[in-house]
Amino acid sequence: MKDSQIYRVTYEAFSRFSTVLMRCRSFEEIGDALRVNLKYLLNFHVFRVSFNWEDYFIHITVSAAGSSVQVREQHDYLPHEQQLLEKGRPLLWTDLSVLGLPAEFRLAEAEQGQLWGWAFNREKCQILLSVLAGNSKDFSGRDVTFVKLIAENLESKLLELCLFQVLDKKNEVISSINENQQRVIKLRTQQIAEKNERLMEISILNAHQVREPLSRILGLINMIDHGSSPEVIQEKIMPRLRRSSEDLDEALQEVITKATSELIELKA
Amino acid sequence: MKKIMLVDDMEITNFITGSLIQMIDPAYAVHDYTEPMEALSEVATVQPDIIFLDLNMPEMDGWGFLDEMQQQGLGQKVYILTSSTSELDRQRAKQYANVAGYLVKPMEKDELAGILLMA
Repeated sequence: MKDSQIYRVTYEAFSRFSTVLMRCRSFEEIGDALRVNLKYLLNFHVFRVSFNWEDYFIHITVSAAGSSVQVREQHDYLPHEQQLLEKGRPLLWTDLSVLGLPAEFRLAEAEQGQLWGWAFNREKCQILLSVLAGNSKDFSGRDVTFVKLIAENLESKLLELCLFQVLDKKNEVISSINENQQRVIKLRTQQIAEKNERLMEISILNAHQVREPLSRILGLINMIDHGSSPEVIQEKIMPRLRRSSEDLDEALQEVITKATSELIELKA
Repeated sequence: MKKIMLVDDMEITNFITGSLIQMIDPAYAVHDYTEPMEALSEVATVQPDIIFLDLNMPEMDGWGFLDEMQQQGLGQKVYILTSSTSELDRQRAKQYANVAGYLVKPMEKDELAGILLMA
């Protein structure tokens, strides 16, 4: 193939990779996208990205065995990534035995493994890329251009997902505050309804208590209307009228005292 | 002559009802009680044609009185005479077969005369 054709094919593969990546809605989907699409852009045994933004540490490792995704609040950098962070520039390792790499990075002796690493420091976040290549999966200097493009794409996508997660968490907090308020409102409404009911009961009770002596007064007045003799009025009705009026007064005073104390109690 | 029993813890109420009955016809025999227990114990011997019964009384209220009558198999005609205008009380009174009416104090003389005639 001519160079121009190779570039066209690679460009199409990259375009496809970008589109798939853009559509990812979770870190796991990013892992899958890398596993499926990255092999058309680069030759590698293992591809690893470590991303950090604030409290988010995301590590994605892609190999022939599959992809693994870790989302942590504390970093889980591999030793060679620590070196990348310290140096802050691209590094190449050819003696892999001293790096203490995990199992999926292990290659046959004949492969003569090479580990390439890049550290990209942005304003708010940081992204580390590692590519493990070898004789059968040759990585050339020309591929570095794509590594940088991949880093840019991954960085913006990972940051976007982190921000969504933060938003989701804030939404959850707001929802729980809302729910709590609803509960408080419901409780308060219920308490007010209970107090209202209690007040109604008191007012009915009070009305009856007052009505008893009043009904006697009305009954006694009826007797006068029905033509009781002056002697009966003077000797029998008047003292009872006085007594009933006093009872009425007493009942009213009692009602006032009771209602006042109930009111104070209900306000508390 | 017809016998009327008045049961109300307020002497004044019994005085009013009793006086009205005497005004209507002095021939009626009025037995008045301010102690419901005492009244209950004499229902069987007095055999009243009508009992006027208050609801709100200490010790034994009107409902207790009616329950006791039921227990003892006393079926005398009872008119509840109360100052309570409560619809709940009115409904509750309907549950007793021997309760002939629910009257709210003060009772009018004409109303009383009508009741006595039907006794």
